[in-house]
Amino acid sequence: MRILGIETSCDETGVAIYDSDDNIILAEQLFTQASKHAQYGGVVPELASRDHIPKLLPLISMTLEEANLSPDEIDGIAYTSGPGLRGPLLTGAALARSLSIGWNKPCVGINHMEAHLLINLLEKPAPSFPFLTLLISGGHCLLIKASGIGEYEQLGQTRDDAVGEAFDKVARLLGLSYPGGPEVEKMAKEGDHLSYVLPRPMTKENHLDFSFSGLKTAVYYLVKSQKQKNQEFIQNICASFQNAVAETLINKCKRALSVHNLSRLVVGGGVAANQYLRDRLEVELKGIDLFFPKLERCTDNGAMVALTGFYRLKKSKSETSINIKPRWNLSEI
Amino acid sequence: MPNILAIETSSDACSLALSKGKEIVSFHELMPQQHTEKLLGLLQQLMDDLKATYQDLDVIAAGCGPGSFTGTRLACSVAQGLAYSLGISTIPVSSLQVIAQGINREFHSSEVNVLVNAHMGQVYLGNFVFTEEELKSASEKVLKVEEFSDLDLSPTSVFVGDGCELITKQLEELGATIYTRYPNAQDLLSEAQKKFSEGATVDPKDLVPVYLSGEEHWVKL
Repeated sequence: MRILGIETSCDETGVAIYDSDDNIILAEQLFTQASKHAQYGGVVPELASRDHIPKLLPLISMTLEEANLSPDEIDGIAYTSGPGLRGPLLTGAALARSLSIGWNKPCVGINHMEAHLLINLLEKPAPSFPFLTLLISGGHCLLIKASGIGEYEQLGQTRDDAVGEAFDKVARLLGLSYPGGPEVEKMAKEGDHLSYVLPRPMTKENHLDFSFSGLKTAVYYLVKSQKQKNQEFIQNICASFQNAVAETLINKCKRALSVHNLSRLVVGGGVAANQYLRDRLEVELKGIDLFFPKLERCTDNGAMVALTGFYRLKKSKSETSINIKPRWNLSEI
Repeated sequence: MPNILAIETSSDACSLALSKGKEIVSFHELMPQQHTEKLLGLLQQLMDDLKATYQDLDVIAAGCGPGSFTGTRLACSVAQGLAYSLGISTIPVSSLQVIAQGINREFHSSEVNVLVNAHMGQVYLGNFVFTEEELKSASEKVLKVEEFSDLDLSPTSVFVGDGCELITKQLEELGATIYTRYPNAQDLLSEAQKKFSEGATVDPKDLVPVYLSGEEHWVKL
C-alpha cells in the first residue's frame, strides 16, 4: 500500500508517501514556518493556521512528482487529527478529506503522538514491542509503554511546561533566538555544565511525571541576579540547564524501564534531536537498546503520518467527516 | 450551463449551493461552530438531491472572506482539495461581495455598504456600487469601530451585515436603510456562473483566504 501523509498540527507543513511493501518513504516534503514565528518569540497559532493553506497543495504536487506517482497509484490518505493547534489541524484535515473524495481513496485521521512513537519502525533495526517511549517536544513530554500497534499506556507526562517549551523560554531569557533548543545546545557546547546548581524536578518522587517550570524559574533568577551577562555566563547557564534536563529525563526513563521491566527505549520529538541528550542517554542507559529517529524526523514531518496512516487504515474504516481532536490523548486511541 | 459547487462558510451561516445544468439546489442555515463537522455530509446531500457526483463538477467556488478566520479557511481548504483532486479550477469570491450581490439582487440597491463584525473592536467594510445588476466598483478594508465617525457615509446607500449593530446610532442619525443578511451561496453561485463564462477561474493552489485583519494582534519581541 502507498499512503499519502499530511502533517499540519503546528508550524510544520509536512507531506510524504509511505510504501508498506518495502517499508520506505518514497518521497517527502517539509516546509517549516520557524523563521516566521521567530520574530514573535514562539508559535503564533493564527499565523501557523494561515501559512499551511498556500503551502499544502504545492507540497503535495512536489511529493507526487518526486515519487513519480499519479494519484491513482496512492491507496490511502492520512492526516494528523490531533493533538495540536486547532486552526492548523483543521486546514490539513479539510484538505485531506477533500482530496480523498475527489480521488475516491480511503482517509484516516491519526494521532500525532502515535506517529512520533512509530516513526522508528522505518529504521533498521526497528524496535520490537514492547518498548518504552520518551516523547519530548515543544508541546509534549510523555513516557509511554508501547506493547503493540495501538496498545499504549501513558506512564507519565509533564505537569506544566513541555521540555522544548522550557528550552524556548530559557533561550528567550538569555536573549537567544527561537526555536530555543538548537541555540541552547550550541551555547552549551562551550559551557561548563557544573557551573550552576539547578534543580532536577520531581526526580526524588516515585511517579513518572515531569515538571520543568521550576527549572525555568531557577534560570530566571540566576539571569536576573547576574549583572554581567557575557558570553561565558550564557554558555555556562545553557550547559547547566541542558545537563539538568538530561539528568531529569534519564532519571525518569531509568525508573520507568525498571518498574515496567522493559529493555528498549525509543526517543522521539523535536528535543530528541539534541545530541547532548542522545550522548548522555547512551552513556547512562547501558544495557538498554536505544532507538532515535533520523534528525530530520525528530521534528514534525509527513513521513510519520503516512506510516501511521498505513497501520490505522488497516484497522479502521475510512472517515466521512472532517475530524480534528486538538486534545487527543494517546491512551484514548 | 456549467456544473458548479459553491461553498460559503465565512459567517455563522453554513451556506452551500450546487448547480447541475439548469437545476440548482442549496442549503443555508445558521449553525455556528458546526461547519467543520457537518460540511462534507451536507455537500454529499446536495449531490444526492441532484443525482450528481463530484466528477460532474466543472468548477468550485468559495467565499474567501473576510469573515470568520476558521470558516474562511474551511471553505478554501475544502474547495482546494476537491478541485485539485478532480482536476478542475476554482473561483474565489469575496464574502463581503457575496452579501452585497444578494442585496442588489433582492432590492436592486445601487450602492451597498457591507459591515461585518471583525471582533476586537473592528469591522470589515465593503463598498459595492452596481449599475443595475452589474458590479461597477468594489473596495474592502478593515476599520476600528471608532473610525466610522470620521467616514462620510452616504444616506442613499444601504447598509447590511452584523457590523451595523456596532454603529447603530450613527446609522440611525444618517437615516440609512439597514438590512440583515449573511453571505448566501446562491449569490456566490450566480457570481461564479458569470466568472466561469468569462474564464475568470484560478488554479486551486491560488485559492487562499482573504483576512484583512489579525496580524496587528501578534506581539513581536
